[in-house]
Amino acid sequence: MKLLSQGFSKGAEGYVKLLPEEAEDMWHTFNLVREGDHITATTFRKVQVDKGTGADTERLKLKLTLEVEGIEFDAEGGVIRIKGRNLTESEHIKLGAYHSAELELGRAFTLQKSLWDALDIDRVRQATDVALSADLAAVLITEGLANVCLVGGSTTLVRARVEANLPRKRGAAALGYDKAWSRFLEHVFTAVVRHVDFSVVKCLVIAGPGFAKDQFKEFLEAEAVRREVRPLIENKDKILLAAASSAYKHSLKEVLSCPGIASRIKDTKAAREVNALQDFYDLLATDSTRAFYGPGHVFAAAELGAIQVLLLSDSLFRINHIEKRRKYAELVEGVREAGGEALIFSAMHVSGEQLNQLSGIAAILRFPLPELEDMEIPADV
Amino acid sequence: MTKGKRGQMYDDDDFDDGYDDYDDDGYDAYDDHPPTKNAAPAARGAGPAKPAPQQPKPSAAVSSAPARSAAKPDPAAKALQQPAYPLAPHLAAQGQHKAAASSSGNGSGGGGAAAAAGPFRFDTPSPDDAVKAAQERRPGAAPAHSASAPPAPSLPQNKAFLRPSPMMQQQRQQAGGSGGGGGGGGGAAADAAAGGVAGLSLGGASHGPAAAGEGEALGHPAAGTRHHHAHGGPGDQAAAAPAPERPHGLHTRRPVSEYAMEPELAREVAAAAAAESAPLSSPPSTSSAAAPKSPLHLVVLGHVDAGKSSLMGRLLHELGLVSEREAHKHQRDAAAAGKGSFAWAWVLDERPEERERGVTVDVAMTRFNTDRFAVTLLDAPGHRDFVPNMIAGAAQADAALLLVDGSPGGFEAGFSEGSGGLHGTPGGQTREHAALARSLGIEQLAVVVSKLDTVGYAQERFEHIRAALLPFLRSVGFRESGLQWLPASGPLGENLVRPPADPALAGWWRGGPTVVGAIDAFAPRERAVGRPLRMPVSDVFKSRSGAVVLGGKLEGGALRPGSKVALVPAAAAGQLFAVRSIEVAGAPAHLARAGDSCEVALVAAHGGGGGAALEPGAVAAGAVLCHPDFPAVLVTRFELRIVVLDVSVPLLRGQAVTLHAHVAREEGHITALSAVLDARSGEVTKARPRCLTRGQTALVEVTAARALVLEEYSEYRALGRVALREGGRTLAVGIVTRLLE
Repeated sequence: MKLLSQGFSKGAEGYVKLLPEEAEDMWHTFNLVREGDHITATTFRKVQVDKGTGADTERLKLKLTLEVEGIEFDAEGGVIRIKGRNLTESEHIKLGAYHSAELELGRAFTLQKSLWDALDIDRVRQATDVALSADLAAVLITEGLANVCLVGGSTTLVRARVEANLPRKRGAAALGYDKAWSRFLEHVFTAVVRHVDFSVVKCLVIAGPGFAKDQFKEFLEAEAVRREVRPLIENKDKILLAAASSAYKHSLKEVLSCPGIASRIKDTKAAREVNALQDFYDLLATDSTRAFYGPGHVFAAAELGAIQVLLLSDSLFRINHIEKRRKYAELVEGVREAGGEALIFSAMHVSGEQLNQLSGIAAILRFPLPELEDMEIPADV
Repeated sequence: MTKGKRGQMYDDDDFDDGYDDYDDDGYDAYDDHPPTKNAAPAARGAGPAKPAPQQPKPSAAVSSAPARSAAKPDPAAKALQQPAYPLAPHLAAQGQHKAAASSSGNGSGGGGAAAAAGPFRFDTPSPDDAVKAAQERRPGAAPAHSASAPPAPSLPQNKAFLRPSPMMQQQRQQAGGSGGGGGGGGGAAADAAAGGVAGLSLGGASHGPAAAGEGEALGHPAAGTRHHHAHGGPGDQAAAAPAPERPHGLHTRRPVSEYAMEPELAREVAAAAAAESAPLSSPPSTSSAAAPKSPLHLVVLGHVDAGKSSLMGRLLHELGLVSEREAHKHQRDAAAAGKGSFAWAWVLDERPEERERGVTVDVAMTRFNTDRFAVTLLDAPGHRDFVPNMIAGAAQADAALLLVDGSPGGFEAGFSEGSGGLHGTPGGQTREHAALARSLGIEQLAVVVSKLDTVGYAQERFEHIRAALLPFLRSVGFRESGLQWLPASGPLGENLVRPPADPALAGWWRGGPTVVGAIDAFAPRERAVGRPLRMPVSDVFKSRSGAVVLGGKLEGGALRPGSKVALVPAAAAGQLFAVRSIEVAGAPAHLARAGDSCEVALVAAHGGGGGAALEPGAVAAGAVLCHPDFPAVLVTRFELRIVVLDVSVPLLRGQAVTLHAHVAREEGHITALSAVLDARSGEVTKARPRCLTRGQTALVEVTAARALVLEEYSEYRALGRVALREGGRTLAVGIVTRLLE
């Protein structure tokens, strides 16, 4: 995301002008825009034009400012649809009339907020930091199932899912196996060629249980030469193998934390999140008085200044409840001021999905709080 | 871990009397009233003067107060009974016996009384024959426990033998009803009796044709089937079936308990059961090779490189299924590839990558016959990456051989415990396989200690391994009575088919079972023929003639060419298929029953939703072939009762898991931890726990990423068992207690 201009400070009104450049930027935008914000963007509107020969509709390009009332996000398509009331005086649209605008890649927009909090500022910084947007492509493959995933700084997108039915090795179908297998490999190969852009990704990881990954790598290299797929031939050294226990998306976390891969994608958000969550789980097993989840327990621990690492899912901030959001923002700031670490997980990552299931909030404490463990705290904020 | 009352994960009676497994849950519905109502038997017991209370009218619905309706004398039924006498006097006499037995069973409610009376309760041609057959049967393998009698479950038998005359049917119903109604013990009694029937009527093969002939003469097909349906029909069962408990959203389907098998199919099933049990009831030596044998699905488990494939390869050779020439070829090729020690494994490991790496990848399936069984052998991979394949294989199995490497350090490697962490080493597969096998419903296990030649066949080593393994196997739910222990060597061919030749082994293993002997000592699994068809599809391919063939093991019901079937999930909703041909155990067959693994060629049925041809690509492993009127359902959310295995990290809500159920696998996560249960009593000890730690029994709610076919455990055991895995280890195993969405 490109930051075109900015004019905001914490706790005050302000604006920011951004240009989304890749699919992940749309995710940041989605997390930044909330109901009540003002957004200025070019958009299209059908207008009635009377040319004397009867009413005719025409599609006009307009630059409008909207007061946001609803936001929808299509992760795979990378489009955000915003519904709101018009605030721009125009001959084509009345003030206060409803309009829907689409935010797309490559089209700048200006976002005006009446109050910028620490989380929003964090988000803008994260979204505009080029170093953070490290991409990794992963092919999770096993016999009969493959997922081609793109792991970005804050999103994990499954670009293709290939499934095939492989006959078992015995009986009359023994011959059918080879045929089905090579057809399956071919499908995965096509998906890789279509979705993996080596100008963006740092490496392509082929992972999965058993030997399917090795066979696919061989196939990939042989086919790349045979079909002369330049990007694959040139980036041969960027193709890595890794172990994973299954070909499902949730196995990505094994891939991301495996040492060989981790060094390549070091410091990407995805890898850090996986490790932090794993630490949390490990601690829960070894010392459950230092690991808590759920807003009730975590806020109680925060009050005691006990939080070392705070794990928060960004899906918690997409709420329109100002009071709740303020509470979360204060929590994050409080933890950071006290020397702790606050990690905002992306709900678009595997680890974020998992954290969401744990109510979206968890904490690793500095010191054990056994009395907290027995407390029944209402889960609500 | 979890041995206790029924309704627990591992029923106490799971093993001892595998035959009344279904009696406690599903088959209740076949009784005329719910057995839990204790008032009903009491009411019956109060009127023992009426030996066989007649059921009002076969087609009439039984009221919810069965005692009353059953006790009501019905002249119409009696009238119906009269003309039957001249036609089949001795059958009628049998009927009287039966009535008496049922009343005695009522009075005492004890299993012993009913079992003793069993022979007389049913329509065997003559009491003398029955006694003789019973005597013949006794010295056989069947223990005194009446419930372990060899034949198939009670219900289909009932149906089959009901046919000779309508009158008989009614009495049968009464008998069944009263037996089932006799409280908790009554269920077993009824079952024992049912077992008796099959054994008897089948035991004397000589009079089989006569009975059949009479059946034809008497059984006005219309009448027979009519009655039959009335018994199992909706009107009847609606009152008895626990309909209100059915979860919302799934309740549109008919309860499984309403199912009544199509008459022609039922007849064939009964005939097949008769043919199969015949050799069992006579001494094994006289059984001819041509006689059909009980199927036994045997899975071979064990840590990687324990020698599973080698042992089975050599076993097949010893049994004469691998010719000398083939064996030579493997030996030559393996030696040429520098893998001489894998020569026997190559019999089963056919794929090039398996041979190249010396590791079994997928479950190899072969068949061989022993004295008692037609064995379907599933050679499971031992490597931990292929545990999912092993699960698919073990899910079909009735019994297992657990291979343990007896060489120094070999056993220890396979039996080691895992260490924690995301990259910790998981434990040896001996542990995981055994725990998984038990959770997948395998109760009988023969532990084969291999590679003992490396320690000079030292008996101490064998005993040491047994001492180390036994507590563990018990802790995962095996009973000592279900375990066998024996040494064997695959590559050397010791103690496979014949007693060991090596003096070092023969010295202390004199008279102990061989591998084949151990296989023969397994008890066959009952066939759940009385339920609507279910066959999880494990393999799909196109036959040479172009038809799409689905391979799998029938977990319920029966199939014959011409049967209409539905596939769930289906490519097109409501599409029906017709069975064109069936292969059971590699040979064309006219019938496949629950418990058989078969290959079914399907064609689109006429008049069934479009009739488009089935494409192999449209069916995925894990789909289920089912009865069109009682289709399986796809669920995404369901409640499981799980046992948490050795997890390094406690299970929390939101834990991402890979679900393994029958041959299906899907990703999903735990959406709620409902309660921690007491492993023994099943009572809730803590509601809504924060996390689950190892060894706990709990109720959890699981959501799958995509819908898969599951059934409640109480209805189809094989389709109601689930293993939850993640990161290359098994987190928990459990049974489906409720389908939610």
